[in-house]
Amino acid sequence: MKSIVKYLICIPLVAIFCGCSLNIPPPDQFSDPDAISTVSSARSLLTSAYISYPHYEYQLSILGEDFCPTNLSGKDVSQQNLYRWQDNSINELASEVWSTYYTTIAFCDVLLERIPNVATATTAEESEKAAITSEAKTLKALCYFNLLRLFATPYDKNPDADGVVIKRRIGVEVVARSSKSACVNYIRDLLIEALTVNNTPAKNGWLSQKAVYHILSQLELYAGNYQKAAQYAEEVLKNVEDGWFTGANYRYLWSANSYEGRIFAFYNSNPYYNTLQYDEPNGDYFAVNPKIEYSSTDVRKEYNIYPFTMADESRNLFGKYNKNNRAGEANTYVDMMRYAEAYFIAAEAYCHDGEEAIGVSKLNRYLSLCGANLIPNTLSGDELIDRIVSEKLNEFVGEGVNYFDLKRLGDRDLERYTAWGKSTYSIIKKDDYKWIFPIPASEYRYNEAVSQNEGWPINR
Amino acid sequence: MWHNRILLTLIIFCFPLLIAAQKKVEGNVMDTERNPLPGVAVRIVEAKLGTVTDIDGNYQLVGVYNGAVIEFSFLGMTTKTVKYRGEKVIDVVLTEDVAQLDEVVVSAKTNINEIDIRARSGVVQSIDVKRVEEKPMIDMGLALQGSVPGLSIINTGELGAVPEIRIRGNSSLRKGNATNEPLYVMDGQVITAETFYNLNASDIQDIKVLKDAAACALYGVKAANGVLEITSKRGYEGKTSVNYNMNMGVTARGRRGIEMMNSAEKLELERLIQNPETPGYRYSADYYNRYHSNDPNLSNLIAQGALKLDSMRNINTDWFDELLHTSLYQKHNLSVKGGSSATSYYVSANYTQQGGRIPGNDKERMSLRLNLDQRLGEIGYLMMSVNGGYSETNTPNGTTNDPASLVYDLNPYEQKIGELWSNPGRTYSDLMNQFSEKGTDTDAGATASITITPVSGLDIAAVGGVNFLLAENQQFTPSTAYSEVHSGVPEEERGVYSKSKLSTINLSSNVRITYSKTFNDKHDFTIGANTDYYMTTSDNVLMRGYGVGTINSAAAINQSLQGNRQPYVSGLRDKSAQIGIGVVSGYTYDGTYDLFATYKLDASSVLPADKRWNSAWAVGAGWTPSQYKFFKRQRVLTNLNLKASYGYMANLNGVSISSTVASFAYSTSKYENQRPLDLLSLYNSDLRPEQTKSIDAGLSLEFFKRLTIDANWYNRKTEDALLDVPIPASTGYTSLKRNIGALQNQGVELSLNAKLVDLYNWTFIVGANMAYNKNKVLDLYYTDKIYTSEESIVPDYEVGKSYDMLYGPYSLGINPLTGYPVFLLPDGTEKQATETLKQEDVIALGYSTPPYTGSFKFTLTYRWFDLDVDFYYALGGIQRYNYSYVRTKDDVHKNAVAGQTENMWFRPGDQDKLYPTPYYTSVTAENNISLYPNSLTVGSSDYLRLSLISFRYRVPPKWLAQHIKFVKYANFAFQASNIYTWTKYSESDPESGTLAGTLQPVYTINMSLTF
Repeated sequence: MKSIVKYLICIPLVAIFCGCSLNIPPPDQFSDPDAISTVSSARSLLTSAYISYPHYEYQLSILGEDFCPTNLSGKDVSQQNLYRWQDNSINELASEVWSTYYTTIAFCDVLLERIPNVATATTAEESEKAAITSEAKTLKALCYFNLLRLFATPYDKNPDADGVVIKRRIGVEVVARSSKSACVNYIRDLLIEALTVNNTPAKNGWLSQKAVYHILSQLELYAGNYQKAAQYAEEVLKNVEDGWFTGANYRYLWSANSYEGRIFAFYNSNPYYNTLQYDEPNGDYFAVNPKIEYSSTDVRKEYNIYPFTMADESRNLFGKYNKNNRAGEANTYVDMMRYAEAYFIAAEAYCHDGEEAIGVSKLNRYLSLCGANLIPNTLSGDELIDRIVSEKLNEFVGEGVNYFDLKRLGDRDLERYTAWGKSTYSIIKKDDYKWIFPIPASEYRYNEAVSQNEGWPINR
Repeated sequence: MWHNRILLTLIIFCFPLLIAAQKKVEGNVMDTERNPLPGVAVRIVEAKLGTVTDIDGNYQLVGVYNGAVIEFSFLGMTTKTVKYRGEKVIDVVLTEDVAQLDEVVVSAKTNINEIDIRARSGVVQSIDVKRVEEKPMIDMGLALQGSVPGLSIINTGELGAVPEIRIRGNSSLRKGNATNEPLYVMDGQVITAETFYNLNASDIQDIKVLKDAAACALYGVKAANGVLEITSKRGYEGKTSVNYNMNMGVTARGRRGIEMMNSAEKLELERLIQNPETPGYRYSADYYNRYHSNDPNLSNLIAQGALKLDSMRNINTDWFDELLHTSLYQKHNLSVKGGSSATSYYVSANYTQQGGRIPGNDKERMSLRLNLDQRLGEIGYLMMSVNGGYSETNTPNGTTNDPASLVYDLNPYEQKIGELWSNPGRTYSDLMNQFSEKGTDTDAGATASITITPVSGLDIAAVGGVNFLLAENQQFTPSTAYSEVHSGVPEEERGVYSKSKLSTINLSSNVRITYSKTFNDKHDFTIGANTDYYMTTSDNVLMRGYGVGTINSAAAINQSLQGNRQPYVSGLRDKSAQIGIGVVSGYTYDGTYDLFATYKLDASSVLPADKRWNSAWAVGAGWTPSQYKFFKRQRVLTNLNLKASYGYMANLNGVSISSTVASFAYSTSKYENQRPLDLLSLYNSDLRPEQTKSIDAGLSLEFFKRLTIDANWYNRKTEDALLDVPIPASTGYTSLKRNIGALQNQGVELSLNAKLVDLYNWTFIVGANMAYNKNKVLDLYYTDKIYTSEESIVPDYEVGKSYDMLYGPYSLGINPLTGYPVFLLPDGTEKQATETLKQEDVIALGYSTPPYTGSFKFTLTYRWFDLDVDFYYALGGIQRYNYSYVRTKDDVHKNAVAGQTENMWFRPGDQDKLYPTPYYTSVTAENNISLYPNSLTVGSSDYLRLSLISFRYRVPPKWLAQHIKFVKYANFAFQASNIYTWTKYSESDPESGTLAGTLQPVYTINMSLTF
C-alpha cells in the first residue's frame, strides 16, 4: 500500500516539473524572434503587404474628369456626393485613404525591420532576399508618394510646406508632418536604394526594377525635376518593344494573365470596379466623360469604352475593368504602371523643360502606334501641356491618373456636370480647399503634433 | 433608501420575539473534523420540542427542563443523546455511522486549496446551494443571482445567452467576460465558464465565493477577478441511497413592457404621417383628395377606401401573444450514493430542458458524474471524479433575423396569411424559419486527488485533472429563406451553412503541503507551500459553404462554387501555460487573534521570457473579542469578529502572445502563387500585467445566537490597467493594447440573517443582503481622456469619472416650433437639437450598471411544510430606451407604440410632446438623437424581482415507514422562478435593456423521492 501511495505522490510531481516549460510556440502562429528568418517567410510577409495595398482608382476617377453622371447617379447618393465634391464625402474618403496606405507602410516596415535576420544559404536565396528588400522599399515609397500627392498642396507651391507624416519606426509616435521636400527626399532615397537590385520578376504582381524607374520618373515630374523625370522615363522604355502594349496587343493589358506589356499590376482576387454598375440590365452610375473621344482607327476605343443603351440612347460607358465585369471575366490584374505612361511623362517633362519638339514627337510616336490622332506641332506652352494632359486622360480613363495630374498642375478649374455632361452642375475652383484631402480625425485626435490642412475643421 | 428601512423594520420586529424566548440551551454540532453540521435534528425525547441546526451548526432549544434527554440525529451519523443538567451550552460531536472502528480518521478535502485559516482574515462566503437547487432555471450562472452580496449576475438576453458574472465589479477598464470574469475551480480543478454555466446544481455540495486578495492570492495571477470554488457532492459510509428528483412545469411569456397600438389607432397614425406605403393613408380620403382629385369616381374611391379601412379596423392581432409562446420546463435528476468504510461513491445523472419565449429558442442539457473516494490505509485518501455533460441551445435569432422584434414590427391589422404591409413583398411565412443557430457544448472532465497525513498535523495533497470542452456552433440559412431567394444568386448557390468547432483543454495540477500544530492549547500555527501548473490549449476550426439548399448539413455544400460563394475554411490554435509556487502561513492565538500571510509567484507563457514572473501576496489579521471570558458572560452579543486584509495581485486575463510579441499567421487570401503571412496585431513589448491592490475590512456580529450581521468594505485599485486604446492612423493600426491608467472599485456589502421564530412546529428565518459598488478612473498615463471612437463627443474614460456612466445632454423636451428637442446646457443656456453638440454640452445621465444590488428572502417552516421566497433587486442604474417602436415617416409601415399619435409632434405649435417629428428634416438633429442618449430617452432601470417561490411538503417518514416501506423520504413542492418583476422601466426588460431578452417565469411541480 505504501508503495502505491509513493507512486501516487510522485507521478503528479514529476508531471509538473517535466511538462512545465513555458516557452510555448503558438502552433499555427510564428512569433518573434524567429518568425521571419527564411526568405520564404519574408516573401509571405511581403505578400500580405501587397494585398493590403488599397485601391482608390475608381474614387479618384470620380473626383477627376474621367466620368460624367448618368440618369442613375441619384440612386447612390454617396457616390453622387463624391462626384459633387461634398465636404463629408471627401472627408470620409480621406480618412480611409490615410489609414489604409499607412497600413501597407506598416507592413513594409515590419518586414524591413526583420530582413537583416533572414538567413540565406545559397546565392539564389541571397538574390531573393535582395529582391524582397527592394520590393518592400518600393511599395513603401509608392504609398508615401500617393499620400503626399493627396494630402499636401502641389509641390511647386512652397516645397517647405507640410507634407505627410514620415514614420521612423513601427508603433506609436507623436510626430509632425514633414515638409514636402523632406518627403520627396525620403521617397527618392528609398527608390534609389531599391534601384540597386536588378530585380526582374516573372509575374506582373511583383515590383521590378523597371517599376522603380517608373515611380522615380513620376516623382521627379511631381517635384519639378523635369530633366530627371525624362531621363527615368527613357530608362523605363529602354529595351522595351512598343508592340507589346500597342496595336492589337493593347487588349492584353486588360486580360487575366500576367503579360510582358505591363510594368506592374497588383494581383487581385476580389471584385474590382463593381460599384460602378447599378445593375446589369439598367446600366451604370457614371459614364465616360463626353470630352473623351477616340478616332475610329484608335485601337484603344474598343477597350476603353463600352457602348450601352441607357435612357433610350447609346452611351459611352466605361470599358476596361467594367467591360470585364459585364462579360463575367475576372479582373485578376489591376494595372498600376504601364509603359504608355512613360511616353506621357517623358513628353510632358521635355515640354516643361523647353524641348517641346522632342516632347511632341515622343508622344506622337505612341499615339501613332495606337492609331490615334496626332498632336499638331503648332501647339506650345500651356496649350501644349493641356493637350498632353487630355491625351493622358484618354489613355488612362478610369485609372485615377487624371486627378493627380489636375492636382499637380493646380492651374485649372474643374467642371462638375449634370447627367450625360449636358450642362454644368458646379465648378470647383482651382484654389478650392477641397483639392487637398483633410487629415482625418483618426490621426489628429491621437497625434497632437499633426496639423490640419487649410479650410478643413479640426476637432481634437 | 427604502430597502434600508425594511431591514430596520425587520430588526425592530424581531427583538420582542428574541427576548420572549427563555429557559433554553444552545450549542454547536460538529463532525469529527470539526466541520459544522447544518440540519441536525435536535429534540427532547418524550416532549414535542425540537429544532434543527443552522448553516453554522448552531442550535438553540427552548423549554428544556432538568433531566430531559436531548437527542441529536442526522442522516449518516450516529444518533447521540445527552441528559440535560442545567447547562447553558451543550456542544456535540457526531461521528459517522460506520466510523465506529477505532482508527485514525483522515480528513479529505475535495478542494485542496481550501485552507481554513484563509477564511479567518479573508472574505470567503458560501452560497446557499439548496436555494439555487430549488430555482427551476436551466442556467446555473443565472440561478446564483442574489445569493451573495457582491457577486453580480446580469442576464444579457434570450434563453441560453451568456450571463455577465462579476465579483465586486469590473477590475479592468476592458469590457467583456474574457477580462472580468471570475475563475471557476471545481474540486481543485480549473474549469471553463461554459462548464460552470452547465453544472447541475443537484451535484453541488457547496460554492464558495472568494472576493479579496487574502482569499484569492493562492490562485495567483488567474484569480484577480475573484474565484468561485465549487465542491461536488461525495458518497458516504452507509447504506446505498437512491434519490430521484423531478421538476415539470411551464415557462411563461414574461413581461410585456410596451403596449403597442391597436388597429384603429395605427391606421389613424398612418393617415397623419402620410406615407403612401401604409394602408391608413393609402385608403384614406386625404390620399384620394390629393392624388385623385380630378378622378370622376372620386367619391366612389373614397367610399371603397373607407370600407377597406373599416374591415382592417376589425382585425386586431396581438402579436405578443401570437409570436411569443409558453413552453415547457422539465428536470430529472437521479443520484445514487453510499459506500463502505474504505470506499464511497456518488453517481448522478441529470437531464434538464427549458423552452424559450420565441419559437425555436430552447435549451437542454444532460450531465453525468461519478465521484469515487478510496481510503488508502491509515494515512491517505484518494478521490476521483469523472464527469461529462452536453448542452444544446437553439435560437432563430441571427444577425439579420430576429423574430422577437416582430412583436413590435407587425401591425395589428395584419394576419398570418396574406402579404404584409410591414414587410413589403413578404408574407408571415417569409419571416419565419429564415435562420437557425444551434450551439452545443460538450464537456468532459476527470480529476484525481490524493491526500496523505503521514504525521499528525502534516497534510500532503495533490490534485491533477483535465477538463475538455467542445463548443460547436452551427448556423443555417435555407435556400427558401427570403434573403436567399432575393440575394440575386442562382438557385444552385442558395442556402448557407456554417459550422465552427472550438475545443478547449484545461489541464491543472496542484501540490500542497500544510503543517498545523497547536502549542499549549493556545498557539495555533499553520504553514504551507504549494505549486501548481495550468495549461490551456484551444483549437478553433470554422467552415462555411453555400448552395446547401434546404439541407442543414456540411455534406450539402456545393464545392464547385467560385467567387464570393466559394467554400471557406479557417482555423486558429492557441496554447498557454502557467506555473506557480506559493507559500502560506497563519497563526491564531486562543481563537482570538488571527494573522495570515500568503505569497505566490506565477509565470505565464504569454509574456516574454524576461517579464514572465509576477507575484501576488496578501496579509490579513482577524480579531474575535467574543472569545474573551468576560465577553462570554453577556448573552446579547454572542459573536463579534473583525478582520482586515491587504493584498496585491497581477492580472493577465485577455492578453495573448500576439499582444506582446510580433506574431504572424497565414491568412486565407492569395497573391500570385504566394500565401500571405499577416501580422496578427500591433504588439507592445512594454506590456505589463495589470496590478491590483486591494484593502478589505470586515465586521461580523451575532446577537442572541439568532441574528447575524456581516459587513464588508473594500477598496480595490487597479494600476497599469490594460486597454485597447485608439492610436494615430499613421501607425497603420487603429488600436494598441497598452497599460493606460489606474482605476478604483470601492464598495460595501451587508448581509443579515435572523431566526425570528424558532418553535417546535414553526420556524421563520429572514435574510437580506445588499452590495454597493462604485468605480472611478484614477489616472490615465498618456492623456486625461480617451475616446474610443471618432464620432464620440464624450470621452469613454476620463480621469476622476466613473467608467460606466452614460453621458448625454439634458433635454427640455420637444421644441413646439421645430419638432426636435431643446437641450439645456450646463451653463444654463439652451441649444437646439439642430445644432452640433459639443463635449461641454453633456452631463452625466446615470450609471449603466446598477450600483446597488441585493436580495431578501425568507423561509417559513411549519411541521412538514417549507416555504422559501426570494426577492432580487437592482437599484441606481439607468438604461437607454430602444425607441425603435416609435415610428417616423420612413418606417411607419411597422407597428408603433400605443399613444404615439397623442405624444408625437406633427406640426408647429404642438406643445408638450414626447416624440420628435416623424419627418426627417435635420441631419444634425437626427444624429444628436440617435447617437447620444438624453435625459428623456433614458429610464431608471430599478427593479424588484420575485425570483423564487418554493413551497414544499415533506411526507412524514413515519407515515412512509408504515405505508410505503421502500421509500425513505418523499417530498413534493411547487417551485417557480422569476415570477414577477416590479419596475418603472417602460420597455420590456430593465436588466438586459433589450426588447427581446427577459428572464422568463417558470412554474413547476417538484417531486423528490429517496429510496
